[in-house]
Amino acid sequence: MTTKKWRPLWSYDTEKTEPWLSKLSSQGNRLISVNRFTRIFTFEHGPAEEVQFQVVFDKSKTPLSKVIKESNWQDVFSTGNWRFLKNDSKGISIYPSREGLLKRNRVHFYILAGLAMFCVMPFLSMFLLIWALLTDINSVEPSPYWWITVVYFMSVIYVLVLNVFNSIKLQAFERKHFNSAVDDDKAAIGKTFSKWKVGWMYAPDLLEKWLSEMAVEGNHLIRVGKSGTNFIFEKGSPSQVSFVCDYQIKTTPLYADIHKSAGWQLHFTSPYSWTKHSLWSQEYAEGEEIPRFTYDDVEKKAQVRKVLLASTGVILYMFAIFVFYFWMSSSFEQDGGWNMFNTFIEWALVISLLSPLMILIKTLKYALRMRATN
Amino acid sequence: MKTEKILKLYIPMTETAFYILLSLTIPRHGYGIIKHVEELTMGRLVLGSGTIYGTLMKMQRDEIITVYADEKRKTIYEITDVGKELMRHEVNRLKELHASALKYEGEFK
Repeated sequence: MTTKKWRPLWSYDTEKTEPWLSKLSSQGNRLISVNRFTRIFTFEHGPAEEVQFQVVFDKSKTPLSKVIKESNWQDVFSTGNWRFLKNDSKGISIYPSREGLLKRNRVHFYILAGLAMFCVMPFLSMFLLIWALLTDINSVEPSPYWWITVVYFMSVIYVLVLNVFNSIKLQAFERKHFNSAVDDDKAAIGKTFSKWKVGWMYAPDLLEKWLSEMAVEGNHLIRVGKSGTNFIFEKGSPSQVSFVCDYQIKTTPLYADIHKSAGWQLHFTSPYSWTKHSLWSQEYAEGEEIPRFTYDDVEKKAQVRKVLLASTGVILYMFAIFVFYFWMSSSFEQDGGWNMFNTFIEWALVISLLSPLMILIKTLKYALRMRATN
Repeated sequence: MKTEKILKLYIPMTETAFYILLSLTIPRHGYGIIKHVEELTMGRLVLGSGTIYGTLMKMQRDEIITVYADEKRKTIYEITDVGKELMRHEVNRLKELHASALKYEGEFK
């Protein structure tokens, strides 16, 4: 006898799917197949089994490694890149990596976010439409095509909800399995104060130096605001702390864990896996070598190049917006009444051009400093 | 990736890559690798966590190493069969280098 169960969002929430499979197994439902398209799980009735499940997403499709097999993990079912494993041991100490799964859901997050961005403008105009429907129903022309509007409207809502759901689950998953959260410092006991720093990403060495000097003066960084501009310190005794502002164009899920395992403390990290800025610290004793992420000159130079590349990207992007606006405004006929507005926008744009200029100067100065020291 | 391609890409190995793989005779955590390399080289080679992050990620992409997690959700790195083959080739190359060095070292005195 087989049972079928529909679980549409199982892959975004494996934290719940795995215990769900274990529970069903303990009730005598043996998993026999999963349909990736209809999202239907098929079970066969049999003897009850107390097992732990793990869902693995593995593009390489290589057989299970020796260590995983020796730890009693067995293949139950696989489809596409998905693999459902079970383990009937009591004290499991080795688990297959969840990296592939995290990467896959991250890709979905970026695709959904892209779609959501694309949909937002038409979506807002939809609200105007609903407003019109609610306030003046007589103004609406009857048409057999209204269903298209309704379907579109529903699908946009679906994409937005799915994106929010995925991103919440993804963050929780990353924090739990990949130790990606900012290290919480115990609540401050002493006096605290805060300082503001803007644009430090473009001059990372200066921030590192400033924070280390603060530590020597006994001002310990305990928290950085979410936006990365507000630094909160606690008064204490002087200490030697090395700070690293790291920049990565792309990070893998193992990024945070490897640095944390080497004794680094994470104070700030930007929210996405691409173009990641993060701030790390490690205390050291007087006379010890100052801990760094790398002691290799070639790697140090590569890091400077990465920062330069990132700034160039930001500058070009801002510049493109600027050029696009002027191209638009020069190629369309202007309505007299909008002149004031246009002048205002133009001035705002000219003023906002100062920020890429600042970034450019900051980054170039950083690169020159690095050249002098390396 | 094909093994020949991996060999071409990695041999001759950098000192960092060589010692990282050499320390994976048993599966280790990231920090375990750093400490072991330090011991093997008697403190001469101190690897930063950024260095091993970059190298391990490349090796993982090329399936020279593989990862899994322990009960504390810490990542453990293990060498694969491809990685072992790579090491055998590199060790042979180093043996030849070593033999040549011994044979001719007198000439440079």
